[in-house]
Amino acid sequence: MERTDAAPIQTAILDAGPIIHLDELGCLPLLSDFHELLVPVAVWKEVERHRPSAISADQITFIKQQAPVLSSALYALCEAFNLDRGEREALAVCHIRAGAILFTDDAAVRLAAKAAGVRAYGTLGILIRAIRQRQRTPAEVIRMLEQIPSQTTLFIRKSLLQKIIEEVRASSE
Amino acid sequence: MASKTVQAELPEKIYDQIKVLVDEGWFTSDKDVITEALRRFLETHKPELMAKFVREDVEWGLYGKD
Repeated sequence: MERTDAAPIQTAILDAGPIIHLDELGCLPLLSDFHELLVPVAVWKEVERHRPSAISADQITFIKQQAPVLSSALYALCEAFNLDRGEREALAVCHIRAGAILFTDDAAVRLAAKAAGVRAYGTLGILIRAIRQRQRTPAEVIRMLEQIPSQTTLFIRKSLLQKIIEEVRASSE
Repeated sequence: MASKTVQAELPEKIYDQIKVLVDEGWFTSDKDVITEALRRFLETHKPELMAKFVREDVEWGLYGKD
């Protein structure tokens, strides 16, 4: 599906979850309209370990990003939310890339991101955004959403997923 | 406090890390480490919180500006 009205395109910083889940759905190209896709080194290693095909895919270009040392405030936040190394690096990269969006499927990371003033969304947001960005038709996105329980390792309550599908369907009518 | 017994398989690497915490005296038993780890996980993974994040995803996906 062709895009006709370009929306602002920016930097995205990725945690492992969305890379893996999008690859499980064959949807990594949905990230292609972002100006740059930064993957912190620890996240890169995590994806390489769990789903190497995702990070080596030639359909999308990820940039391996060295994370800066955490500021003391950010360190305290990461400790409070018990974040792992990749998650900490992702937040640290956000800290030096003001205005970037963080993509993560972890609730603790999203809480920490909120506290740090970082906008964060997950795999579901990326999939649904594909309609708005005219990368996929509503029917195609609904099909991808329906495949989440059987094709991916993303956990979501079935009744909630069904509600989302209905909302997406209604918004496209 | 009432308790339930749960049997679960853990990756060896995680078990080794639990063992270090117990062996070094930070926790009195592996049960305490696992309970504390689960408590912290559950604090940040409340169903209503996860549902709220899903809602934010839908809102941004459908109506966001970027």
